Amino acid sequence: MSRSNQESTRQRRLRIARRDVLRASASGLGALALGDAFARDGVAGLAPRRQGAVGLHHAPRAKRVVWLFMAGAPSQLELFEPKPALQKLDGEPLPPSLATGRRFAFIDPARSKLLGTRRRFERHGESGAPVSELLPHIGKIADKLCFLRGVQGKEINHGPAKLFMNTGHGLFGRPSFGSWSLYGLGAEADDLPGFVVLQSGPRGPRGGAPLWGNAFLPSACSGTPFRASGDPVLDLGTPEGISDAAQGETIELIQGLDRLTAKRMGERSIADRVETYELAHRMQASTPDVIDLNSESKATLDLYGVDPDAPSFARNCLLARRLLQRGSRFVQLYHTDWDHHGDPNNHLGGPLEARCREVDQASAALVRDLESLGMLEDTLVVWGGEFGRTPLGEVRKELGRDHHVEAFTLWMAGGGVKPGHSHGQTDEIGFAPVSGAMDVHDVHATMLHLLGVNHERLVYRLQGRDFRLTDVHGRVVSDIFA
Amino acid sequence: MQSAAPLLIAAALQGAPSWTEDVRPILAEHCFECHGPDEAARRSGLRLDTEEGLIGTDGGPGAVDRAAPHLSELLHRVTTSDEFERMPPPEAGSPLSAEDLETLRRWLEAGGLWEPHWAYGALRSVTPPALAGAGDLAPIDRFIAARLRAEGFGFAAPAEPRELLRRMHFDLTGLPPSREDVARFLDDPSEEAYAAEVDRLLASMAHAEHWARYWLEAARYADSHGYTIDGGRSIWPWRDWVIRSIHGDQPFSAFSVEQLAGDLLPGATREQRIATGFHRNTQINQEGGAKDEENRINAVIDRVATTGTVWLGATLGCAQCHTHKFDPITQTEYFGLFAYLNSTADGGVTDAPRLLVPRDELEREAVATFEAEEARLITELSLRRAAAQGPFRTWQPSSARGSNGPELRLEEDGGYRVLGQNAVYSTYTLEGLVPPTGARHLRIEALPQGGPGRGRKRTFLLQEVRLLVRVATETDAEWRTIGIDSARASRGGDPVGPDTPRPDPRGVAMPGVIDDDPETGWSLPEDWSEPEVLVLTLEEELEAGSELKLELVQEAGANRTLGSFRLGLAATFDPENPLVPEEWREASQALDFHRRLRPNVPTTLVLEERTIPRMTRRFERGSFMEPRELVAPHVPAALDRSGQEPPQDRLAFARWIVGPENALMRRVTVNRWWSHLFGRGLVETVDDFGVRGARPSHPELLEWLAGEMLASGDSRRHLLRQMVLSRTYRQGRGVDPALRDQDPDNVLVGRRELRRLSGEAIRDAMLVASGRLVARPFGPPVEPPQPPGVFAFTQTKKSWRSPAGEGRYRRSLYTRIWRSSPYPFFGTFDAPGRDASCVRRTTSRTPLQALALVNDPQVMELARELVARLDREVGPDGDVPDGERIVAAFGWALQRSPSNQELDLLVDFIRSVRDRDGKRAAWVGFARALFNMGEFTHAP
Repeated sequence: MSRSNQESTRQRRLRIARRDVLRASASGLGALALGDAFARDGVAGLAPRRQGAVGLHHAPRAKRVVWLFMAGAPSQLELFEPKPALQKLDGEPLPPSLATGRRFAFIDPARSKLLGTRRRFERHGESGAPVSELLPHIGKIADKLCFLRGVQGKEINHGPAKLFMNTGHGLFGRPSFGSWSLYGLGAEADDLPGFVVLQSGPRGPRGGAPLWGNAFLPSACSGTPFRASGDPVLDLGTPEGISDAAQGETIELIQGLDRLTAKRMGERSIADRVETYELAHRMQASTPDVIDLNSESKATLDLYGVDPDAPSFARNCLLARRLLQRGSRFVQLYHTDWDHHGDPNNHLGGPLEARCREVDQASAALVRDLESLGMLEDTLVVWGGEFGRTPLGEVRKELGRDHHVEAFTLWMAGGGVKPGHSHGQTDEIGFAPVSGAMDVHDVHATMLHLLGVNHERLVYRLQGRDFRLTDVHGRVVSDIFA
Repeated sequence: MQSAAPLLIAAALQGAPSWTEDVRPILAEHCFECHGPDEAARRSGLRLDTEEGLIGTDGGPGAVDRAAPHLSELLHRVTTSDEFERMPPPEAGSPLSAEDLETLRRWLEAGGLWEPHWAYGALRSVTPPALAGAGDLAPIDRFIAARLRAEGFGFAAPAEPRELLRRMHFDLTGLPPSREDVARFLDDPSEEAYAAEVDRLLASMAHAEHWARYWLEAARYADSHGYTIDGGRSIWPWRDWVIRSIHGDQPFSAFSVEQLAGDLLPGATREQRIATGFHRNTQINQEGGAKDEENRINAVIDRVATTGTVWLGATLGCAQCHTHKFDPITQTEYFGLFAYLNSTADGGVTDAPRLLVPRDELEREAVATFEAEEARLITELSLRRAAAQGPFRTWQPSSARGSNGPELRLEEDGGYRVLGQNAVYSTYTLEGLVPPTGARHLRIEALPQGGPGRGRKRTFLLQEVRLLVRVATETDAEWRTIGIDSARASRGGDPVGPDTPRPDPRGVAMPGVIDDDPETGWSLPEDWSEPEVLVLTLEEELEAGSELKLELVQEAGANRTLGSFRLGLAATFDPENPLVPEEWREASQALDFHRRLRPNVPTTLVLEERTIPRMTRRFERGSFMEPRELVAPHVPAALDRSGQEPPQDRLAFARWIVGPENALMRRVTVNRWWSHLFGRGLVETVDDFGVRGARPSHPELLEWLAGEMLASGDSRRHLLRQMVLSRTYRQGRGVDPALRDQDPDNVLVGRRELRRLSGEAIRDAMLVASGRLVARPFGPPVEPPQPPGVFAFTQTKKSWRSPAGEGRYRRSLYTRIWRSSPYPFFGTFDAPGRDASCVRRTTSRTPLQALALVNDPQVMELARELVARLDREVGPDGDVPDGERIVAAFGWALQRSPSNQELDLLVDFIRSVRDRDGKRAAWVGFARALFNMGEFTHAP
């Protein structure tokens, strides 16, 4: 691997091989059997289609991922981590041993007081996992979930932390998890984007496009945002005033002209171009079908709690299931406004209750629905924010907590993780893990492993350096594997 | 597949293994971790990346015996079966493969010769190879032809004139030629006519605009601050500066120096200061909890990395956290570079300093007058302020922090600006030593510039002041509270009307700050613009050298905290003296008043050097939370061929970068220019000339070009002219199947490859074809139509107006760039994000590109405009035959007439759609199809 000269020769050979295979795969001949699915400069540039993913380095447990991203960072202490000791210490200062050397975004740890939760918890199912009264539906599926209670971040502000959670790096310029997985595994369908981003809540997630960006990977690996109103994909719809027939004829005309050009100029690349119009046309046809919820039964709509005509997190959950069914590899849902510091509009009272109401039923419904369709076993569901919230209260107008990166909770379901399981434990006030700590790189490494990818071997060389999602970190935590 | 590219491996497998190509990579992978450039990690004093280290003349043990190579310790250690001797040790990694061992053995047997990294050597003088029967070939062509011949090939046939002209126009200007340009050239395709056209284009504004775009990407230019809030910024005057510089063919050396350090040039002009915007294209974090210093350091890190990529082809980012594992750059050397860029006045959460940019003579005059007066008033104020110090000396604590998130930034005048989170309430805590004079009186100046308060209408309420001392030498000594005898302020918070009498110059008693009553304290009237002070007299003298802690309690809420203040200590103080002399008040008011008269002209972000340089420390593991020893500014030894003392400041560093000894900078630069014209660099890794980067395909040509650059006075235009006039550039898209098979990536440059245009160029070509291009250069960014819903995924909604008028039709270069949501049409065609420096675009082909070309509102609008142009210039549908309109449109779009087959398709299409949907639909569809043709979106 090390020898630059041979490396380039090998890369070159691979590139040629890939070019042939990509051509072959575009005509449906099947999967790639190569180290990575793309040529360095995207010679063909189309996300190659891989039916029935076989994993890149080993047999996968999951073929696709749906990540329910709670942007703004929900409080694990109100939702998943009851801490009786914290209740008892309510109003007390933080023990100095915990305060020194820590960084917080807003609060002064030396002057803030511990805050016991005002929420009640119940233990659910055979696993007895505690889930807050605010999430009754998720509580009921606790036996299907795997809680990671000792997740640790590094970045204390939203923008950098979201980048970190998505790209493994707190600054811009690295590819997102979804892009890496497309780069490594290719897409399952060619009439839908392989990596789709959905958004609900009052505004977009902080950070914007770099959260799902391909950075230096081929642009076909980029996440495609689906919009809640209008065309879900930019430029998807036939422009106003153009009849369907004229649209079809125009595309045929383009293809006809390109075929003539390809012949006259003797250029294969122009001939290949005809194919992209074919795919665009198919995408144009199949995407409206994805977002048209009329074919879903009343029972399904009720399960998710969807009003088919109004944008919502619930609607996005159902869309996500439909995208996964049709071959999208990675679907990410952002639901914003979990940043409950204690300001009049953003605190642990009404606003937290409202966010929970918006996501609880649909999150649980997605897991149940995937299960009933037989898809849960090879679909990994991930739920959580970019960090957690402090055991300390933040004294603003209302009850609130500051950003906390030392320990927070994510849950996963399906995709080869243990159901009804909890990994990791925090200390008695929930400040830091005492066992089972996983940093964000470990989470990434473990997720890639479930997808059949060795995180140390999915690399891209740029500026003389082999970049990977987990940088020089990452540990596969097999304890959570079913 | 197996037979592919044999010519490229052939060279490597013949003869003795080379240090650079074969041996160094093996050692880098297996040995450098403990025996490489990183001194801290080095074991047994053995270093294997330098010649001295290998043979042991560096004081280390050495591992290569040149006298008896096969007995070298190196070979013994990697082959022995003794597990205590074997290298690498089992815990450090896997043993070397048999293939690697064989390479090492053959290398040692051939003498174990070391060579320096090719890219870092001095410029070599090279002569173009003499070729039989190639008398009239230009130097570039000789290098290319020699290599082609050696592999058994020759140049492809010359491109046909129309294709050549399209290629050259797109490459040099980013725009297609006009039909008339092509007709003229077809009439006279002579050498002279071609050269004249090249010169005409190189001198055009369109050329400067197109080539500026490459530079803007390298500089990560955008019209917004980035991160999550991503507010708008004004730095387009820097973009215009780049265009003007390229248009005037400013030597690349001066172009570089002015951008890196124009502000430090003697008698720097406004233009030279605008040029420093290059490194202000870093991001600013406007998020609530963002820390100024952390984000400022992130900006400097970005500047170091970008400087490395753009000028040195070096991946300096690696050395931020640890000594580079492969390139000879240590972590200390990284911070040596960091030190050059670490003393600018800009911060991480605010956008100052900004420079006024007058647009015409009248504004120039107004700005000059304003700035001169402002400078005079600033001097006046600081003189008055100094005179008002009396016995007080500025106290400089060693730490200063505020609870609840604000950050206290030490200013150059010894005062504090409070930045970051505007806390609802906060207590500032400052700690430091009592000066040698001792202290009995403490003075707090509340200053209007940047303050005095951060509450509504610039208010604050200082509830309590607390002082504590302890013996400095004992770190765990108890703090002891110091009693405060009295407090007097130059003014209190009562509202001031026209009839309010002036306060007593000796001040008013202010017991509220020492009474432990949170209801009382020191405040000032709303929007107060005069300096005011509070003087506390202590119950006892503070001993020199003891440690003092000062707490400023401001917990009343509503953000009423100090925004700008300075502290002073004095041993004695005469209470009869006025607290704030009238002259100080007047000077402060005058400056405040003057600043309200700032001329209404554009501004741009610039670099400014602090008067007092910042000390740079090495950050352990690259983390600013772990500063270590001081590092003086210096350049990496491996890159320095100047033989001089290290440059002392940013200006000297910039001059070092462009110095005649710096062959690396010229190799990197000519290679980048070559890659823009030929689609691939002579060094494929345009951004990496380090040991892990690609080797040059034509090392002698690269060297010759670098020499030509130096000899021409670093003229970009001269180099581009040489390249575009070459026969190499003018080859056709040759179709020798043997060559294509053996050289699929066109490393040998034995033909021209069809190249997909950038999204920017595709849109510009549509503007040209539809007759709507507004070619006027310069000015603020514009907002051409984009699909609805683009900002649905950004945290803050962006405004995007697309008003009627010429803003819709300017060149793509002028389109506003929001970092969090760039213009989607360009991104779809692989425009990079503007978050990090990019010197090499990738080219992909995706269905989203087809969707954008078919359906984007901008494409639709320009298709309609093309139809309107047909109606206007050729005649309406029905008045003139369809064929005539089709031929005219083909001429505008492709500078040729349609073939009969194309005509058949088009005529059928138009009839069919017209019969069903009407003539407008038919012709708009035709225009859309034209814009979508592969020929339209590619340069031949």
